[in-house]
Amino acid sequence: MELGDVKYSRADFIETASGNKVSRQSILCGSQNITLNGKTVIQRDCVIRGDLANIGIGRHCVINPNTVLRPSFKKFSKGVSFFPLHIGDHVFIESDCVISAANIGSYCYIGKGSIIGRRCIIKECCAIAEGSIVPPETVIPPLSFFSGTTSAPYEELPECTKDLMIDITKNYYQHFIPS
Amino acid sequence: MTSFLPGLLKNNSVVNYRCSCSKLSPVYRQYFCRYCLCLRCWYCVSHEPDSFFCGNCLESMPSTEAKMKRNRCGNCLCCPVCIHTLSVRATSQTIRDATDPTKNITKKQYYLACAQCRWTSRDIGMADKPQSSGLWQDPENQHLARIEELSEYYQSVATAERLEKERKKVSVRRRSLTMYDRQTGRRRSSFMSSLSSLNLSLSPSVQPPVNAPAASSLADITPLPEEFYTVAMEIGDSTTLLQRHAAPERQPTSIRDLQPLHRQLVLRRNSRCRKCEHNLCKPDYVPSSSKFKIELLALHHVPEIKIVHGYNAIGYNTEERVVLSVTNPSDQSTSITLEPLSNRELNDVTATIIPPSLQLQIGAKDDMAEFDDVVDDEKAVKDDPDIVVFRKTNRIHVVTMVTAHKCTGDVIVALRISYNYTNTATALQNKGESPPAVSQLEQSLIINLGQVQV
Repeated sequence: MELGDVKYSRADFIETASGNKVSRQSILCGSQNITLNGKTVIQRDCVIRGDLANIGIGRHCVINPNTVLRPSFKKFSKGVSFFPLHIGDHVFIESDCVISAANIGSYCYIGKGSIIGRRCIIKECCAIAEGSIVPPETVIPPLSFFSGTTSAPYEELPECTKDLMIDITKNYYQHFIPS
Repeated sequence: MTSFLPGLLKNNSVVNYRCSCSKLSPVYRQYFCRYCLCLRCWYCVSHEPDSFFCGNCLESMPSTEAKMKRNRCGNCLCCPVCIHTLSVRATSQTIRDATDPTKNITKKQYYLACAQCRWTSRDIGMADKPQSSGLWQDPENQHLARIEELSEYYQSVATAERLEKERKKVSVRRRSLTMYDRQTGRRRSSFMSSLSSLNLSLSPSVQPPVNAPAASSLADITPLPEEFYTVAMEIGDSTTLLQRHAAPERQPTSIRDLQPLHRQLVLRRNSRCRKCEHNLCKPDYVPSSSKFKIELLALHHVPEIKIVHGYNAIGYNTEERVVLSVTNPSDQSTSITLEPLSNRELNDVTATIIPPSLQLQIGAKDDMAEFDDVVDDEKAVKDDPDIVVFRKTNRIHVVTMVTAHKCTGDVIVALRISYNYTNTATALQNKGESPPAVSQLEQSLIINLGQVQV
């Protein structure tokens, strides 16, 4: 289905020169470490912890309300070190998610309320079902659908997932207009 | 935004296209054969194994090695309790130096741990290893020798049967007249020529199969120990059926006997049209890539029709306005015609749709258009606002009128879309000497507009 326009008040969102739309009610800690590559939408009440490590978010990403992006850490004998968090292009993250992954590939869909464990690597064109819990240090191969908490053989997504995700994220951005 | 995942995965889409085999499925689940010029659904293609790789370490494996290792990765181990991949954890241990008792040496010891259920290799009494990989040995399979004996026996029986069949073919050929040898032009006996081409040994009988010792039946069955009747069972100590059957050679009944399992490999498929045998979809060999070497997907060749959000619920016997979006996937502009289909041509149709009757032009797909601010007014198509309400590069929004004819159930309409298709396959074959062939193609589709409003 093609979505209709979603209107927002200009006072509620900051629009940057490269087209990023960040809600004023979101919490961006350590904003000098956070990179948004362009045309990304960050909704209200999101928490992005750039103070712990670098966070890089690709183009045309959508981060829905109440999501937490928190880089994970690893204990070494001489202390603790935080891993940078990289999110690829055209990633759609639904609301109420907690993301501690190390890497989320391009063209991924993260369902509502899911918890991505620490140091996970999610490859391109993956989908995570609503309410699922990805255990720590999981590697999800491309074109897989992860649901529940299992790491048993994953269901396959259709081959055109990349085009569908590009369509969804671009349409979302085009229909996200100021009132 | 409601999740689109259920439709994506379960073939439960609102708009379904009819394949050449008359089955309905969403356009993103179908392939397009540009040699047969028709849609192919999941059931019209033959799925062949392409490559094997481990989902954790993303290392590819040739099919012969995968068969030898029984489709399991040699390096990655899974937790026997929850089947999540095990991670190697290190601890340091200080021990006294054997040469100098006053000094202490710190040694690193490794053990396996599951991040999901917190099972560790120490729970089953497995000793920590001095190296992180290579020393995690599988327990011996006590049935392996018997299984190999039986498998050798059945292979020799199969070889003997195959040779017997070849022999029967030779005896049938003996009945034919003498034939000419194609290379030398001389006559030769058909029997000898057939035998020499088959490379059979001239011994009178085929070698007998290797005999495996027969299975022996037990005369005395040991009775159940007394503990089964007197001691209460500890449910926390016994394994579930899934955990037991994950290791079929041992089938441990107690959680203390569980051993780490090797991770199962992931298979990449290759799809081929059943009619013309051309490859429709071939994935890349590199496991971490989501690209394809050959990608003939329906979404890239057939115009996609979607419902535009914001239509009123359709009432019984009332005409409602529904806007449909049509997207042209090709890099050539096309003209489309929409026609309604009746119940005679497609089943389950419960409503009629009246699309615009004239031919509509849709522009070509242009990836640079979103960066182009200049709009060329001269080239822009002037649309009737009652028919085409929106136009942008390769997408138009078209107004249709829908009337439901049943007072219960879903409102289901059927359409046929005719469009011009530019076949670049023939142009490539002729190496650019002739322009690409343009054909007029038709696709039938069904749209579910939700429950009828009473």
